[in-house]
Amino acid sequence: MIIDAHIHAGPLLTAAPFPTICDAGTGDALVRLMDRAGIERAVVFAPPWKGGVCDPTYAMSNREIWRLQQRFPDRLLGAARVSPNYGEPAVAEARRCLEEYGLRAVKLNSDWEAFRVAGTAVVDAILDLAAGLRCPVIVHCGDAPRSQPAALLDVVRRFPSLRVVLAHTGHEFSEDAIWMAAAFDNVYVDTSEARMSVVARAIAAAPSHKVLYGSDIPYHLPEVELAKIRLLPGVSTQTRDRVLGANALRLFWGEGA
Amino acid sequence: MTDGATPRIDAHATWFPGDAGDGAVYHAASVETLLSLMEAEGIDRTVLSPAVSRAASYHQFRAATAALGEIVATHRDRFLGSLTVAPAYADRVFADLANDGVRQTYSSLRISPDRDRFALDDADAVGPVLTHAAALGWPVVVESSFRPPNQPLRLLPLARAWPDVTFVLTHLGYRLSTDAIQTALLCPNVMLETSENWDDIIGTAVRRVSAARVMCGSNFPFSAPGFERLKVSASPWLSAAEKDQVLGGTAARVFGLSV
Repeated sequence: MIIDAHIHAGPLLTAAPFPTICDAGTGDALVRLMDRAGIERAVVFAPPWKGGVCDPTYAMSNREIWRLQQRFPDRLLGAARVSPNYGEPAVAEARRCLEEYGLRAVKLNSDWEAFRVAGTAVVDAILDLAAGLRCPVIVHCGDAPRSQPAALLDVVRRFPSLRVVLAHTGHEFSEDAIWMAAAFDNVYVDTSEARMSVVARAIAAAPSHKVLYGSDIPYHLPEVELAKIRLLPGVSTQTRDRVLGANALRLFWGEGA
Repeated sequence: MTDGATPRIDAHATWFPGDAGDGAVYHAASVETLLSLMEAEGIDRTVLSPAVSRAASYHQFRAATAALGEIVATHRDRFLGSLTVAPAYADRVFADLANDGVRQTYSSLRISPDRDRFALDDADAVGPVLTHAAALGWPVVVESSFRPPNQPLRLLPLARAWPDVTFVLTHLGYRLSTDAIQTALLCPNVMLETSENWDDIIGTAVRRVSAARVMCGSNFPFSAPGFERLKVSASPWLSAAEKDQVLGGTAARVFGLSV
């Protein structure tokens, strides 16, 4: 089973700040795209907000993600996206998503939303909520200091029961991300946007259940991101299957060994 | 290659005589491995450079040049040799091409500013290399990335000062793809090679610079030819004609392969 651990969906795609190379603008389009690539299930969350449709708190997007999860319960698992800059209402939005809507993960992007992950009361409250409900948190990783993997060291130490996915395997800071996935039981990496050699390194250096396939749909083609895993030489069928789906199945759905 | 069809060319690969190291996808980056990957992906020719270590000596450059020259001579119908040269040794390495009998196996050269510790816009360092390239009519493949010596915009003064030399910026500038595209827009003699960049960036480069100036490379052994080529062949942003150019037509023209 192939599971995509990193997909952006919802109404903000109509005003996305980046060009989209494939169509995930509606639930039907997204599922068609998943079918085309042979993806059975996916973790979906809102894209970054930047003008156009007015949804800076992601409240509208989260409702849409909830509807997508309701409409395709066997295919899609929704993650709540929140902007901690809005303070207590951001915590309330996260709580609404996880407790009322039944979304089962949280997505944070400290680069786009410009906040510090570590040592912020609002972020701590969101992480505490996610940890208590056994919901993994997917954190965008990039080049900005506040979004580098090491910026999360404090968080993964203080919240040992919180499972944290370092998106894009840390981007240019992949060695840091891979080291954290190897060093901390609660840290995972996803392969979206990572170079093939980085994926090879992650599989070799981190425990095999810590690496998750992700595509970053609709900014990249799922077939291309899948080829990165499928064409990787020297990887056993068992490990490949884990990366392509079994690891995400266990982390997000609590299924499998 | 079918008669009349555009050849399928991998515009960027490196041959390692031994283990390619931790960063490689294919640790045993042998000629046999590369040939089998080319076969599987329908690649007619690969532009191949020899690996040379950081701070390599003149003798290491000469040995690498001679060794790859022999490989290309054995597989003339599959490889196009790309000479790798540090500016400090340029005159001697070019003289060796004739002395060692491998001149005919090479048709381009590759420079790596970060590896060989010079700045790309240092005309005093790079000028003599370009003099040789211009005399031979060879394109110059330039390693590019976000590392300061390699940054794509540093090619601007050289590309303007040497309008008759064709330059190929590798990895589409890597994470400085906007700068690489700008450099190409400002200098008609600058081409872009796609390895290690993303499908959306490749599509953007083709839209802005044209398919006639973008070529697909694999960066073997650090990535897989099949994966790198899929970014082009699966792209909904590119027409069939554009894919044809990027997957081989542009490189055939730049590297002097008759179609």
